[in-house]
Amino acid sequence: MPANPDTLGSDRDLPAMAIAALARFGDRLDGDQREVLIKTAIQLGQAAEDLRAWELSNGDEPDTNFSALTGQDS
Amino acid sequence: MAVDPLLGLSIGELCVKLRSGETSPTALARAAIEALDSRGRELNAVATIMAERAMRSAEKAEAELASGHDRGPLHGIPWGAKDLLAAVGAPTTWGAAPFRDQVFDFDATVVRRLEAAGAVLVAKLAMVELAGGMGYEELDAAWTGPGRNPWDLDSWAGGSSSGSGAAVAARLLPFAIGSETFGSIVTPASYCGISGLRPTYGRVSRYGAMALSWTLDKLGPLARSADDCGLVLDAIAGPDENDPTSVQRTFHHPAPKGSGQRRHGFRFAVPAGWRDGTEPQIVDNIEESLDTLRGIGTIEEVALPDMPSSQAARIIIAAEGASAFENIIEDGRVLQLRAPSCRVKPHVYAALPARDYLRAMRVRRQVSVEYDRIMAEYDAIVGPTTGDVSPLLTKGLDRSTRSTTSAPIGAPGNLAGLPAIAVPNGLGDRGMPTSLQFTGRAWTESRLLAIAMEYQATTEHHRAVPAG
Repeated sequence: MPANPDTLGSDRDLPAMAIAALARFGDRLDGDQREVLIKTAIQLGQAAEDLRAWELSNGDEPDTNFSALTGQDS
Repeated sequence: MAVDPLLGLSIGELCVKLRSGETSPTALARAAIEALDSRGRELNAVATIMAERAMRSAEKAEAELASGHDRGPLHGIPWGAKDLLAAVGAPTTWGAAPFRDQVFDFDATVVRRLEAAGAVLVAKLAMVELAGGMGYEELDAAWTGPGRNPWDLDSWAGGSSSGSGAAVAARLLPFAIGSETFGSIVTPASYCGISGLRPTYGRVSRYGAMALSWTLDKLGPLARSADDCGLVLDAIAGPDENDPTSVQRTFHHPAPKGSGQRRHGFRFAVPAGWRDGTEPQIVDNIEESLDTLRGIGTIEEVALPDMPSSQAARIIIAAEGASAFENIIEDGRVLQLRAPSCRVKPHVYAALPARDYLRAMRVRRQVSVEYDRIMAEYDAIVGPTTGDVSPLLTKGLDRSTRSTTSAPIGAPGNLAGLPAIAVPNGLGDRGMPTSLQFTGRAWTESRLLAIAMEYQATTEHHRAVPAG
């Protein structure tokens, strides 16, 4: 489960997305911005969690539409 | 400076006056330029006025019409482009400070098609920075400042096609082109009291338009009426080799019926629970609209499936937006965006796992299939476009409550690429416009337009003009 912003203490249980984002971009953000980043990661994590609760089977393909570029039969 | 009342006429009405000689393309273009330069700037609706190009196009249209070369209903009509469409003769800023000096040396397909139809591009219109894809929470999230609403300058015009909505509502232009990834045409149409058409995904080429979310972005008209929206769609629809998602599908703009003639026999559905979270005056106005619609069809309540549509849309926009704007996230220019929230959130979007994006796309397939099954039973699902009227600019954007993202069919409609038209249906809180939305099965724009035109044939809400 994603972390709850209201219960985050000093040694925070940060969501994975926040850890990844802070590791890559944290040095350019101030304290307030880091708080916004963590809150955003929690909210996005919750959306992802909601989607994981939706049952999918192996046969449920993503709604992407790849096709090979037109070539010549041979 | 007073705005020329001719700019408040519909395309059809202007069409007649242009051919009778009561006005001319150059007179209309000049009036639109003056109106945008005065009232348009008060509204923060203008990115760039394209006076030179506009007058050149207008002079050409004037000469052609005088010589009997008639390109159709848009010939000589001034219009404005959301500032995410490439057009020669002006910067294309995408509403964002890091791109204020960006210039393209070609026209977007939509611009080319409108030019071919004889329409006169007058201005690039303001928009929320990067079409709102960086998760804005502030209503002034644009380098042009907050989009002000012609019905009340202290209220928001809506987003992200804010300038398109405000300029048309203020009668500065007969029509404008906006874009919608998730609510960005229908929301300003609702808040500003005008008609806005979100076409089926793939109906209109996006070539030359800023990409935010390749699988969700659509372009469409905002105009005075459903009829005008149809006339514009007729000019811009169709396949384009430069946009592989654009397709060849038939579209016929339904001609208006003569007086006394009615289309009828439509099958409407209203989503169960549509009143939940909707402002009371909007509920009253929708009830009144449903009474009107009973004159041309049947209405039944339908239970929409409880699927995680808004979550899927959110993940998809975040992931595709982070990819589309990877360069400014990586090099730090994202920190130059105006809205504090937009400077931070993209850093998280860039860390979104691929499996979450793909799961969202797998759920999306199910949403599309399920809604296609439901929509097959009806000509349109009807409901409020937004559950609230335009918020005051002193407020932030509350994404959790009543805005279009929580409208009954906002998220699944966009996920499934379904067409929708928003039309004014009265006034609500603080005397601000309210809006009725018709959503249809994919590729049914002709039917949606016929329905909306019938509704507007028996109501006057679309003729209401903001004071001042």
